Amino acid sequence: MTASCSEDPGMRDFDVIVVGGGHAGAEAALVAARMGASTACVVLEAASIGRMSCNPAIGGIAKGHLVREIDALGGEMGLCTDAAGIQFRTLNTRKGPAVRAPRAQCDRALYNQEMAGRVAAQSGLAVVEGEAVDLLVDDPDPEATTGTIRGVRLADGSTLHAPAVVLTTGTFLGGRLFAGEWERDGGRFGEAAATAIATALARLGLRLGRHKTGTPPRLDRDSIDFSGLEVQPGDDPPRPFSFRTRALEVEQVNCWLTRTSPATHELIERSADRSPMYRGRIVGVGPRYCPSIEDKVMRFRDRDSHLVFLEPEGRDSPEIYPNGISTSLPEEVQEAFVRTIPGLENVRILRPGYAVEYAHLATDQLRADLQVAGYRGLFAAGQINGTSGYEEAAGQGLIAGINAVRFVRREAPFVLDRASSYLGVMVDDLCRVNPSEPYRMFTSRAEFRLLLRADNADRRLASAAKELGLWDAARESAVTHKQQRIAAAVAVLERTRREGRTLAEILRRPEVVLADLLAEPALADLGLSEEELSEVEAEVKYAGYIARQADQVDKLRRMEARRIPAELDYGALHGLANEARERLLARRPLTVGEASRISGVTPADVNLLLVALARSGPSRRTTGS
Amino acid sequence: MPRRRRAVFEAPVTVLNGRTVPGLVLVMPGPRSFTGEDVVELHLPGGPLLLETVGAQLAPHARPATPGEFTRRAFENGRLDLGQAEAVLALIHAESGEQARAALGVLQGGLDATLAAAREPLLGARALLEADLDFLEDETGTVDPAAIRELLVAGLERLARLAAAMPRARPGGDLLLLGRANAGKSSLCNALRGAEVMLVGDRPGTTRDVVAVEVAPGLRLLDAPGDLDDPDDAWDRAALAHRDRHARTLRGAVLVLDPTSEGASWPDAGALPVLAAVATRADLAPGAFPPPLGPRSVAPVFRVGCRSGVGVDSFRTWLLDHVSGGPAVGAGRAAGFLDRACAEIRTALEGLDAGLGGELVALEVDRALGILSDWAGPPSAEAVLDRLFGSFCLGK
Repeated sequence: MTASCSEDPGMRDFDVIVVGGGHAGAEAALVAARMGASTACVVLEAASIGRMSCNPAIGGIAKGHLVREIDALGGEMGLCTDAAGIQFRTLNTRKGPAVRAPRAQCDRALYNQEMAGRVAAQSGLAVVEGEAVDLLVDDPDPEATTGTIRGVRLADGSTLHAPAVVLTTGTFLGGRLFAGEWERDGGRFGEAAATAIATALARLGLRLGRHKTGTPPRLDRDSIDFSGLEVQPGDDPPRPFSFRTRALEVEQVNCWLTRTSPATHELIERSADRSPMYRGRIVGVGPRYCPSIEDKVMRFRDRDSHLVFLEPEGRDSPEIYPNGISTSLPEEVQEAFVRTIPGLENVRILRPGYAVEYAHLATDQLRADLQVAGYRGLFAAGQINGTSGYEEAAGQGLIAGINAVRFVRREAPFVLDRASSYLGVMVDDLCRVNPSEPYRMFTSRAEFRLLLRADNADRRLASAAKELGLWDAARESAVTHKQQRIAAAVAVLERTRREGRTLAEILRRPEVVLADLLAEPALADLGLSEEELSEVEAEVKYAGYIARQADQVDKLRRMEARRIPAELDYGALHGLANEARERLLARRPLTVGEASRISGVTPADVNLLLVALARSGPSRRTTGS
Repeated sequence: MPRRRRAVFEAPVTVLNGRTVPGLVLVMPGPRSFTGEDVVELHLPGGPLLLETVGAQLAPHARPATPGEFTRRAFENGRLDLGQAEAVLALIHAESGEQARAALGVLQGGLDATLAAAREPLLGARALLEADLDFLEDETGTVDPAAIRELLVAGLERLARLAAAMPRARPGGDLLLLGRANAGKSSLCNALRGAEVMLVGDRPGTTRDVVAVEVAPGLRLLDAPGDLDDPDDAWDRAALAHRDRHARTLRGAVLVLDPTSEGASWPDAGALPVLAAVATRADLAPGAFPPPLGPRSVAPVFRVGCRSGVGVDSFRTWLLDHVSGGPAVGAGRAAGFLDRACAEIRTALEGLDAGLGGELVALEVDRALGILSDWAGPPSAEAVLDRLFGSFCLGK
């Protein structure tokens, strides 16, 4: 049980224990071990590390940005994608450079193998098979939600000790599966749920919420008639995900597009009352941006058709993932409705779709280092923090892993700000409010979107990666080299004139793209790579807009640097709104920046805070980055 | 309705050369007074001499209120919020029933509601822009720019209506165009002249080059290309000379800047109030933005392309809206914010029409929303308060 730990508090089997081996767990364990911490990764089954439980694709708009940032900080997701990818596309190519993003279709089995292999091969990282059922906590106080983490207890009764534990239990936390009238506890089809850990967290006084997500039926490739369907090929040539991958030698596979028909909708409408969602069996909130097909049909009755992407699960896999028809209808209804979709008339379902409801921590209990506020040494990352998606999970895993090591070493937390990265935006968003639906990254969440591009993630995070020791000399010189080539190209554009105007001026026109200017000898001579070209275009087109945002970035960084003393008496702040006072007292933000983003704290409250801090003496700067 | 002559103390208290003068004394103990403090009011017959004498007698205990002091005290004591304090100013300076109604609406605590109506279509436009950026066409279908445009126009109209109801500085007289060589001042005059604006020509008694463009009866833009194109020191001296020469009619400056020029920075207008700023070459370099005006400036910045005429109408409309030749009254802080927000939306609309990327149009809309937030909940209370309360021309 979660009680004070009777063993010697000095006992330490590892520096860091990571519970879970999904996308968050794998990145957390790998980075902790790479930073030199002795690390354990506790999983039910070693072979399941890095498994893709939903569609076998990585990236997409904003999510691709995250992967590039993870890669820039030495993470593994980009490399695994390059190794396991079977179709690569850059999305939004017709839109601005800031919103272009990579996406890849992966071979599910290969990706799983790659990630599990890398974890197994990492020195300083032990994979422990077993179920973590409880947390070992010194001086637990569920009322005050405080305590000190000592380790975890496994189902077989054994204990593992470490001063830092990272929870990455994903949909397994109190997971329950649904399809029609069928339901049972579970985290993924055929795999058990992590119920005990959910109970342990509740016993520590932590607030939990419930979310819902779903998955479509898997289809037998050989039973599909692709002949009449629209083909979606990959890009030629494919662009790699990782900054570390020089070139991709890959024979790409196609995806196909089909759509639901009025007959599909009629069938679903008739059976909607058999869906666990509509029967009130599921209370968790699902993502609005990724609704089940029954939700789409019932909520958007004016649409007589929805798109379905048929995505191969692997190069030689017999399975096809029909993206767009996630469902928890009874199995026989699933079979009937998919057969009304063109190309799927005779389809065989290999595995039915299902919905999964799972518990997550209310994220306003998290600090900016992904530590659970009050419980020293307890970190959380991934779906347990109310997010959805492999990329969001991996990003948090990386941040939590880094901070677990820094915590053990008594170093200042590693916190990325909102102007530096989508990682910074995500963690800040999560700490600020408890999302009411699974949190997915969108570019619109980033107020400094023009700065945060997929192509410049390496340059943005170079100094952080270096400071953390996650970059070797080769990568450092690669970034310096790229930086110089971009600067040279921008200089050429600013200098070269055509018809009285510089090439840069011409490029800033909305209708002109850099490809139009490639015939210019001065530019062609530089022989820029595709990635460099895209960077140069963004630098020139966005220059004025970015300069204009500079004052906002400055302000943000000033506010982040303005530390609030722990002893500040909010009760004595005359004029503070009651709601703001309560929120500030509950949270005790570390900086004025953090305070300003707490919901219920208005700019007027922040001003009062600033005035009070100015009175109490010169500001102290925060430590760390 | 209080009973007649009973609601107040009626006492011959005022002493003038040993004699009493009939008057009224009102005693209003705090905290339920206008300022929240104890207030004593003396009501006396008018007359400068009497006022001076009484003032001198009170001098050891009292002093004249500085402009806006009573409202400031009311704000500091929590009797008014910032929006309401501003509305007092608006009410005092209201020149029409509509202006007075708008001010009263805000004074009654309705700033949020007033703004919400204008914000809503802007947020709607943001949402459509984001849908196009964050999702693939396969998922969302094509987002129609016309729908975005419609929402932006609706937001602009509501804000502009609100702006028109707010009190503002009425410069009248002449505005001096201040800008370095080749900043585009002459082109700006030409562009404005292009549409029904009369060229006045050389002004008698000034240097050969001074050109005045009459935008509306009572307001002229003065452009002095010859003098002001000299190197820095001469330029400054020339500006001063102009200011002196036109001191009586000169109301303020319009700064002009080519943002693509080397080390582009706004010229310093010295003591001359800056009423607006224009960044030229918006058509040739749509991505080139001017540096911000000073942090405390609420003057709108217009982006104008004289070759294509983009933005010229926005600037002209602003000039016309602000020119009546009437007296200069308390400068409108609210109007300044609203004007800036409107200018951003106009830039967004121009970008949308020119086919600028959605991420850039979204940025402009975001800036407009940010400006409104700054107004409704100002980021730097002290600077705002100084500006706001300093602009009261009356004691209360």
